[in-house]
Amino acid sequence: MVPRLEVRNLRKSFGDSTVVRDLSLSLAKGEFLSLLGPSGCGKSTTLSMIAGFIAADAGEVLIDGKSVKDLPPQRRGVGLVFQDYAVFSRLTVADNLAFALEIKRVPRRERRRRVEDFANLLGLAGMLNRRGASLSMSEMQRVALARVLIGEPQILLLDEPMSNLDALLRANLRTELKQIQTGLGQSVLYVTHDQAEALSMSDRIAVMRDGELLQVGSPEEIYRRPCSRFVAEFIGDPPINLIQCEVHRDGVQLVASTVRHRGLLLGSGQADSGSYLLAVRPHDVAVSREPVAGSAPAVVRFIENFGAEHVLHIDYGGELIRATVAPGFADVEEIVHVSFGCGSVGLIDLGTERLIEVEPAEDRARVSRVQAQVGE
Amino acid sequence: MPSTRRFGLGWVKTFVVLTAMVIALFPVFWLVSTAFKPYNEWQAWPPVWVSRQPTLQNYRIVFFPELAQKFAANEKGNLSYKVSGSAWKAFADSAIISGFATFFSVVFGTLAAYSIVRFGIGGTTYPFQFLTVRMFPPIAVVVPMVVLFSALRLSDTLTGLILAYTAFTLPFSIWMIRSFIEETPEELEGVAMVHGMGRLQVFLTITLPLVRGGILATALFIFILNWSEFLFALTLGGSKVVTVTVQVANYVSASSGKLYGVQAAMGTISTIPVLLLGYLIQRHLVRGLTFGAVKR
Amino acid sequence: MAAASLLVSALSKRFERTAALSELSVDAQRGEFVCIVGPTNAGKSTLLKTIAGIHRPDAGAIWINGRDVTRLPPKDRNVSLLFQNLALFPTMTGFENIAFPMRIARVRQAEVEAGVSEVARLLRIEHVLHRRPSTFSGGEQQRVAIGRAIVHRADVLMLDEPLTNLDANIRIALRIELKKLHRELGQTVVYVTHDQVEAMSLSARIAVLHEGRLQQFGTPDEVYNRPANRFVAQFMGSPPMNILEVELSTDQGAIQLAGDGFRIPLNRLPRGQGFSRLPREVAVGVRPEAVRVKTERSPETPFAGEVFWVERLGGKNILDVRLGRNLIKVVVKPSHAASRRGLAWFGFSPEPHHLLDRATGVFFQ
Repeated sequence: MVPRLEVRNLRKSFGDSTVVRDLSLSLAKGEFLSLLGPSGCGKSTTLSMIAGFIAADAGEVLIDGKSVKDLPPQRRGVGLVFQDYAVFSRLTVADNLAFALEIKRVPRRERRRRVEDFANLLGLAGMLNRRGASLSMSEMQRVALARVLIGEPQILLLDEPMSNLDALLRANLRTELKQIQTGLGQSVLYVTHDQAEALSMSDRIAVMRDGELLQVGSPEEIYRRPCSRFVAEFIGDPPINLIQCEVHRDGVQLVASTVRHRGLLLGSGQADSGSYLLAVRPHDVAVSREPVAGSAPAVVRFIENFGAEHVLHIDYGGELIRATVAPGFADVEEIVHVSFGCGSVGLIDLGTERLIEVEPAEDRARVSRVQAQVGE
Repeated sequence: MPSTRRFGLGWVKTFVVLTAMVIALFPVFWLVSTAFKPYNEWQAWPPVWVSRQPTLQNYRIVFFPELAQKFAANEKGNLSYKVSGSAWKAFADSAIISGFATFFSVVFGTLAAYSIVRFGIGGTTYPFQFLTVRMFPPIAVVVPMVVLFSALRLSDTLTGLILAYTAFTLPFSIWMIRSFIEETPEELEGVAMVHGMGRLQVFLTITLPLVRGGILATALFIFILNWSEFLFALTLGGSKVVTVTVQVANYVSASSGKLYGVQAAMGTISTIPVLLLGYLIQRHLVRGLTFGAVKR
Repeated sequence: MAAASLLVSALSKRFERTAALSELSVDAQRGEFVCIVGPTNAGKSTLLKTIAGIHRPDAGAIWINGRDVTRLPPKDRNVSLLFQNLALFPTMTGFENIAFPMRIARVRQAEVEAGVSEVARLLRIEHVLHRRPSTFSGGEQQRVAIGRAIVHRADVLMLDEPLTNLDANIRIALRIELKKLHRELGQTVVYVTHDQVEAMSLSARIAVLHEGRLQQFGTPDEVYNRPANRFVAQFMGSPPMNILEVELSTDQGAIQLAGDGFRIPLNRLPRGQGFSRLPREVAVGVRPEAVRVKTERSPETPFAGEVFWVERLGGKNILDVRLGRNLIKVVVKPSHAASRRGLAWFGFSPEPHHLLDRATGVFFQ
């Protein structure tokens, strides 16, 4: 099947600085793809090239298999929702929706029918006669979306539409946006620097940095199996822990030593003996109040209270590592016992900064380890 | 990107811009050209575009009025010539009046604009109210002004014209500078005050440097207004105080009508101070001084 | 009250016809980190500017270190304020921006240099000291502005949304840096934010503002676990607390809460409340993480609900659930078997202090 959007080897420089280098990606019909990266990584430039606002230095943009190189933005079949939504405050909701259709000289009767259809679809039916200025933020988002969707774009492009909004509102709007997108089967390319937005809405995420595409995959893949140190650190709140370690290969098994742990059994993976960074999500750091097998004592330095959970910042041999725990688990300056679960860690090569996956240890090894502990 | 589609549009653009330039610059060309024409070419038909016998005669008459008498004798018509004073005095009068009036206008304008922007003096409609001063044509106020000025013994004095000009340009000053002050982030002043500065010090050391470009641009604009003012100069001055504009109008002879060439010469010279001033403050006119001050 | 660094009592401020602050009282002990949190236009920035003396209050008083400063100009209050838009001086270098408060205080050059370099080291901005703000990145601008605010060593350091508009990741990193910085400096901090996560994780106490009124003032745990009203319950926490309409009844002395699709016992009434004095029509708040979920029916999960939406956030999943006519949000681990659309079983045991008045939205305490 021809993808809805295909980008091949896109390239763009402004003066001396290359903003986008050799970027290729595709968007399937009905897919929600996020371009995720820090400010200045080239994600908005990529979007502008797809929309046709700026021309690429090299490479191709294909929509439904056809190159759109010679088409101006309004004829590419893309719909763009602007930051802050740009709803006309003096026009009514109905006039806002009909705006694009009027420009396209759609007949009045047809126009009215489509406005009503889309108003129903997006839950705006009751407010067609209200003015833009009187709308709430959630209603504005829906009006802005409806105004673009009514033109039935092949691809909906969104450029950080929520970045100026309150945190609470953002959480609500992203659910709403995703539900609308799923309901319509709309293909969406969404640009954001907020990993929570990307994780929660996307079918796939494309992580960018310095104009390059680092990894494309489902939210789960990106979160569970980031390809590099940058992706690992960029995704996840609280951020992932990176701990210096020495790895020894013991047959197929990898055993690590850190500043506080000796003989940590990691599992099997494609790594030689040497120095690595141990990557552990704060959720995967096991913390207990009493010593357990394989745990090391450490002092809690800070606590970040998130209500439903606390994040402990634990002094792990001079470095602070983060661990997510239940509220009230420990206090500042208290001693807790830290261990890393087998199968929930990765290794990062210090040279290439690539992530090496570590498979959980096999049963046999686990059994022998438990026996060894019993024997002690 | 510049595809063939856009190529055609480019020519249209160029054509429009060139036409606009020709229309705008033709009077300037005609002024300079006439200033170098001898007497017989001033009103010649068909018009002389560029004189074949350029002369400095017109400029000589401007600066040395006694030459006008000799000139009159040489030409066959009777060029009895009204202006006795030299152009030097006109330039001096204009410079004093325009300079002082601009200075006062901008100083008072800055202070007033700051009060309006930061303290909301006069309420929200105040800026519109004072602009109404400029909404009726000056000719409507000239007669009462003349009466008032003669009663106050300000007629035909430098002080009188400075006062009149200041009053009539102040609305522009306030209006323009107001917008420049509005663009400077109030928080910059807040920071300075929180860290220990008083209001006046904040105004002088924080705000003023940021709006300097705007104030200079306003000053240039006001100076041009003052320099080219004619109606007040004619009615409130005219005999002891003669501005450049009045002097130009005075180059009239009873028998031969207007001395176009001399007027053109005077006009050409009178643009020089304005150009000079514009050039001098040009580098201060750079906008965007507040760039990077606040995050948006 | 000797230890109170800042005391704001019954502060009111109107702009034209709208009340920006209504009889607002908060305080901060010496060295305490207090957050003012609320949605846009709650009056948070107005409060800070009034404390700083940039706005004049219509009523109320402000005391700083035992001194009534209500009528004093900003320069005599010895407070420091980081504005939301940072307000760096565009014509000054990073160094001069940070040195600014010391320049005004006419501190000797050697001390200025020592002070600036110490702050620059703390904030890791040594590399921007000789540059102008227009060349700074967002994070650098932020740090320089923080540097200027802390170099003053004011009695009260006020920060107005210092992390807003930054990339999410820089925000998370700076958040913990601020916390470390506060521990090192021990300054009294009043921190304004619209982000409840920042408020919860940074502060010793939180003042929740809404439409210029104080809703609740307490520790993060108090505000989170014992919200005063519906607004606080739903503003603090993401996803917000579920509020379910229930009917209160007794069955042979046992208190029952009956809602659409569920009926649960309440082990006791809210403290100080008699059954007869409570209305029958009440509501109950349940935190999304306090809802038990299983794919099978069990004594802990007796109510059937339909999971109709799953939002995956990496570290956790948020389930949108239809329970009778109620729509609730439930937080589960990413690996939880119920993280898919369809039928699942739910249970919860509300705390007595999570019972609230349906009409007024106030919790019975």
